[in-house]
Amino acid sequence: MMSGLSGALGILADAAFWVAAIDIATPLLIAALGAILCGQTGMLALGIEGIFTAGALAALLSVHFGKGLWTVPLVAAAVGALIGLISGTLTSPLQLPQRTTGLAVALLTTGLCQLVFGLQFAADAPGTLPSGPIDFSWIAHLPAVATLTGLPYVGEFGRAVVGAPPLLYAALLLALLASYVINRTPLGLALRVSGENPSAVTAQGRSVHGLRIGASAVGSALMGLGGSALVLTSGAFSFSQLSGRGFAALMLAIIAGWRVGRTLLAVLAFAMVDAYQIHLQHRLGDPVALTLSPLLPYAIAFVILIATSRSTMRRFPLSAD
Amino acid sequence: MIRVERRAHVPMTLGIAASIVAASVALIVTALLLGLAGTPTSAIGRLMLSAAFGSPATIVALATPLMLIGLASVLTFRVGLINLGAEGQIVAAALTALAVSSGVLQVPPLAIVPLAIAAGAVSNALALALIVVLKLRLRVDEAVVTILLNIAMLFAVQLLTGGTLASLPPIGAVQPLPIANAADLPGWGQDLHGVLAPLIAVIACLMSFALLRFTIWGLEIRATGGNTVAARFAGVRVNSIKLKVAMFSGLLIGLVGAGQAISTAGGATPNLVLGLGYAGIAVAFLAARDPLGVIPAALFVSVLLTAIGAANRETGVPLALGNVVVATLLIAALMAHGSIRYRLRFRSWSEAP
Repeated sequence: MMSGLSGALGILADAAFWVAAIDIATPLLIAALGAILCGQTGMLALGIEGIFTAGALAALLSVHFGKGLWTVPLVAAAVGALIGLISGTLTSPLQLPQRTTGLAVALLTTGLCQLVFGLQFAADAPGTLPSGPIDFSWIAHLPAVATLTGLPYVGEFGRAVVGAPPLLYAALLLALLASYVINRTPLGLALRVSGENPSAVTAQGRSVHGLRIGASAVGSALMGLGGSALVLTSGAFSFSQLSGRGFAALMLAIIAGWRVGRTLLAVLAFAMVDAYQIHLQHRLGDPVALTLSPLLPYAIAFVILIATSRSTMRRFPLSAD
Repeated sequence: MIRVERRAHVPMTLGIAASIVAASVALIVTALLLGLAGTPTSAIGRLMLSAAFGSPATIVALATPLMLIGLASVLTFRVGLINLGAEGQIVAAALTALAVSSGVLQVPPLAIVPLAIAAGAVSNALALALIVVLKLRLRVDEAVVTILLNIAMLFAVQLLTGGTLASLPPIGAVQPLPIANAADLPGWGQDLHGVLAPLIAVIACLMSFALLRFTIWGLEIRATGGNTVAARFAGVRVNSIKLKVAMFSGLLIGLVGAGQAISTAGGATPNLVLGLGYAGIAVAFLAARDPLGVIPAALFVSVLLTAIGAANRETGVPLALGNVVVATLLIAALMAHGSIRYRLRFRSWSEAP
């Protein structure tokens, strides 16, 4: 095993660790923002696992069919928005039970993804992007960036952040935007009230159903975008890599009580634990004792979810069904 | 003027009609998807018919776990608990049963099998009791927790057996378990299991129906799910009822997992059929959350999945088609049974209040 605390802390000075953590955190953060948007209006987006996968597959297919890098996230977001529109309509005006419908949406979309993937790539090479992961190394060579990272005391974390893929900055910008819209605009107020007290929204002459369907569509677009971010940063598509990420994003958003800032911290902590266990596996050459280590970040988050549930639920009760 | 009104009472015939509509939608979607996936049109009808009427034993063998899980889901939904975790609970119960049968107990060989099955069932009942206690004491959302536990259990066996990770694997896919089955079920035991398991499932459905319909406990259960606040006000011990019903449904799900693991040949690596936990939820809603409806609903879903399995073996159609069909069935059943709670009333303007 690692030589105690110094070994565990030493990893913080490892550039590869920070790069891995940021790569893990970026898609999770974008997807979690989508879950927050739904959660604020009183919807529990259990379909997130499927929508995340659908966004990733949409990204793979649009790269496969020769679309440019700017269209890829748009296609993924559009696919997500479409699913969100449907599931929002099912749960809000049609009043189907949220959790069961969410599970059905997750099953349906992952099933469709596996179907499409199986039919499209049956004989073909599996889902690696022909172009590989997006190459952002030119950023490190920009004069301004080179000067910045060349400064003393910047450290590996700083180098990883400055040299991080623009997707991270896009995710952080989206987080800022989401936080602003939810907390500082009349629309955000209406969204929050439709979660806490729907009849108050109706009394104001606004449509709760409209707000919820809208939030579901935009939130699901973000979830799809998160899936595409995973494919673009890793340069590959595999169900194994995507599995559980959507539910992880939802779990982290619930732990954070649907608040953007706390979600950012939760996602970062989750990504650091995940990057740490990956690092340990590489370092120790995949020993049997670490077979279950990919479960570690989930297990920690799960325990926190249960421990904090009483206080989060008091402030942000989820709908009954 | 057309008004949408909530019905005071939904007639049973309408409920049956809604289920038939939902089932037809699932049938049509199955046929369409099979066609889109490259199955020749002539083969689709043949596959469906041979699945339905070819081998009753196959249909019953698959319908049995679906019936037990469907019934377990019906009961928990009826008291207002949303257990979406049958999938993971099956895996957990199977592992528990295999651990018990692996030789830690010094008991005669004949006693090992019933002991192992009982251990799987009871441990799962206790697990569900824990989840309900967490919900009632800490306000933990049981749907989120159970779905996360599904993923955890699946990932654990996938990691331990060196497979790739899949959080929602194709329904009908086979997952080897990391523990070998030490209990050797003799030939007559396997035959007995083949007869006993469906019998237990059907009897459980019939008894649950009678319990809900004709007994005071049934009234209390229905009251708890129908309106918890009113039930509590009327003196029903709501939390205790939720706990008991959840434990009983956990027992049923545990029987499925333990039974599947133990009924494989001794010394062999047992395989679990994945996705039945989710298909069981679709069974519950197709049955309109009625224990009696679970029997035909489970048989129907069993036919659908058998047809898809046969198509997969014959023409290589991806098994994931089953996920799409089960999810469509679930949504169609929810929509059909949701819509019949309302009716349209046509009146002229002068009659309108």
